Amino acid sequence: MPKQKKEKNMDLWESLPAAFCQTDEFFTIVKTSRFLRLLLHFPENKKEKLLLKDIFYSEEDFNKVKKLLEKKRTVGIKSFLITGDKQKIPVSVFSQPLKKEGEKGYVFYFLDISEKQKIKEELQRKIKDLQTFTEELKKSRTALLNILEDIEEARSLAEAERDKTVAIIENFPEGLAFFDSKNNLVSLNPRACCIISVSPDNLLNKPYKDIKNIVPFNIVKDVFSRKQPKFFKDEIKIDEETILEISAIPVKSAEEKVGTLVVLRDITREKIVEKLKTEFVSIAAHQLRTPLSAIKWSLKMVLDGDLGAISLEQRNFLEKTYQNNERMIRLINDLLNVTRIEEGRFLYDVKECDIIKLIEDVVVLEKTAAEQKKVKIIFKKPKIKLIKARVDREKIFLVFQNLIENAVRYSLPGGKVEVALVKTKKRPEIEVIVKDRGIGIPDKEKNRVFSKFFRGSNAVKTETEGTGLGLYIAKNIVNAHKGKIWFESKKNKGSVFYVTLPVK
Amino acid sequence: MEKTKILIIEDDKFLRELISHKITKEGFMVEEAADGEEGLEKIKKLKPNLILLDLILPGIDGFEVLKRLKEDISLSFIPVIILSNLGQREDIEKSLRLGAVDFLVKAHFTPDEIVSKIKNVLEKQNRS
Repeated sequence: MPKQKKEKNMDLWESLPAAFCQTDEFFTIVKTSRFLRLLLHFPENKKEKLLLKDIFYSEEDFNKVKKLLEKKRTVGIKSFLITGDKQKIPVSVFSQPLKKEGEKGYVFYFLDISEKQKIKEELQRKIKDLQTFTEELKKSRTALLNILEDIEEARSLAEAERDKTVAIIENFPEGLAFFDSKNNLVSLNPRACCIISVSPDNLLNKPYKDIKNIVPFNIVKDVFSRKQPKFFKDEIKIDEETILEISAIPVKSAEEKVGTLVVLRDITREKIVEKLKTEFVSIAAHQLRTPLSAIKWSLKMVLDGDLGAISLEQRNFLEKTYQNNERMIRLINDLLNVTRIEEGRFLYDVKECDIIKLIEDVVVLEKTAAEQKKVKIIFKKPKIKLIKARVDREKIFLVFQNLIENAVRYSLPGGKVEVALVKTKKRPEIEVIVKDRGIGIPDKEKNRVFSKFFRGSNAVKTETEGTGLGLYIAKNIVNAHKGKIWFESKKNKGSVFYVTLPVK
Repeated sequence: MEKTKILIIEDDKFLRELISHKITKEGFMVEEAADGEEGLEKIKKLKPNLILLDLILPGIDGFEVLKRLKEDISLSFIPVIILSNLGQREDIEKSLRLGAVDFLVKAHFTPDEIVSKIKNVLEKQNRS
């Protein structure tokens, strides 16, 4: 080669910023570019002959290249070179046989792909991260979808339940009004609106205090007070034709007050039926009195001698008949009283009454019968001169009359009946006590004493004339006055009956 | 002296006759009526000193008789004792409001007791 051309070639080998080399046919490196030497950290004055395989990191790769080249194929692979200080450099290896006259060998071009590789690795790492992240997201998504499904299901169930509840409330045959824990009216079903003739729009979401003047909400105000709310029930007539039963119940959920439920029942029809029944009994009773009066009068007239003299035997016989007739008359009176009590919880004529005078009147009335039996009635008057209470006088009269009558009736001859009246200090009420030392009430029978037609077994033996209705009537009257009646008794020792009545 | 005239307005025959018999024995003059219309007629005709009036009557009832009686100035002074087997407080109060002088439940009083009541009312009447 001419020296100039050789110098030009030398320049390229020295100045091209590319890593290439030339080998002979036995893969011994005969020439290297300066760039390759720099790349492989060769010391400048390395004089030993280098084998191509020495710069290949992987002998396998070298063999691969060798085989391809010997088959006269071109090479373009990725591999690694190894530097003088044992570093691994990723490269792209391009090679082909030398195309020169007279020389056999191969040319190799190594492209440093370490940057590329780094980027590639970085990318792969990032892709992997992304994949992991995507996987995580997918898992989260699945989990969320599951949760959503569960929620949907729960929501459906809740809705179905709610629809059921709403359907029940909407169709409930009684009126329902529900107040929440803050006493706002949150629900008013159609039946309630119908019963009290209001449009729900005017009342819904209003607090109780705004509607407490609307009948019938006015009577349940105690349930909304801050005191411990209790179950409340009462009857109220809201116009000429309608009677309502109104109940108010505080609603709790695990000891927390959740609200108040007010139930409105139209009991007009029930009341009418009750009234008709009572009227029927009333009329029947009065009809029965007519023949009883006839028997009474005619027997009395015979006993009085108006139809001529009668023998002693006849007299005794007729006396008994007369007494039996009297018994029937009393029974009818009791039946009439019972139906009157059941006729209504409304007391007929409630007024302020002097209770001391009331009891005195009863005692006076019962004194004659008591004296006949040689029983004394003692009324222990209270220290206070005047004790008043709001009562239906005629009915309360019946109560005390019944208690004193019983006490006398079931006392032994020569016995004593004590009546006392006390005004209790602790509560605003009065207490009436009727005490006797008579035949008493057997323990087994104590729980039936206030039932209709009940008479103690020992009472029946002593006095055949009782009807068994007196205490039943008395209890109903006392209850209607919101009072209490009870007793203590011991067979053959006597009984004490107590009645308390409120004095508001 | 003219006998005291008592009018009985009572629809039950037996009771009417019983009480009539008793009162006659006591020395009174007794007239009977079996219903309200007849009763009012006899009141106008007889002008009795006292009337025993039942409440449940065929046709017009005792309350109506009492009302009409008291509306007639020439008759309203006659004392009326209600003799009935009704005994509800409303009935008693209504009768007294309409002007009856007393209310006796037949089943609760003997004929003697009824005669006593009649005598009491007449006595009070004579005194005033």
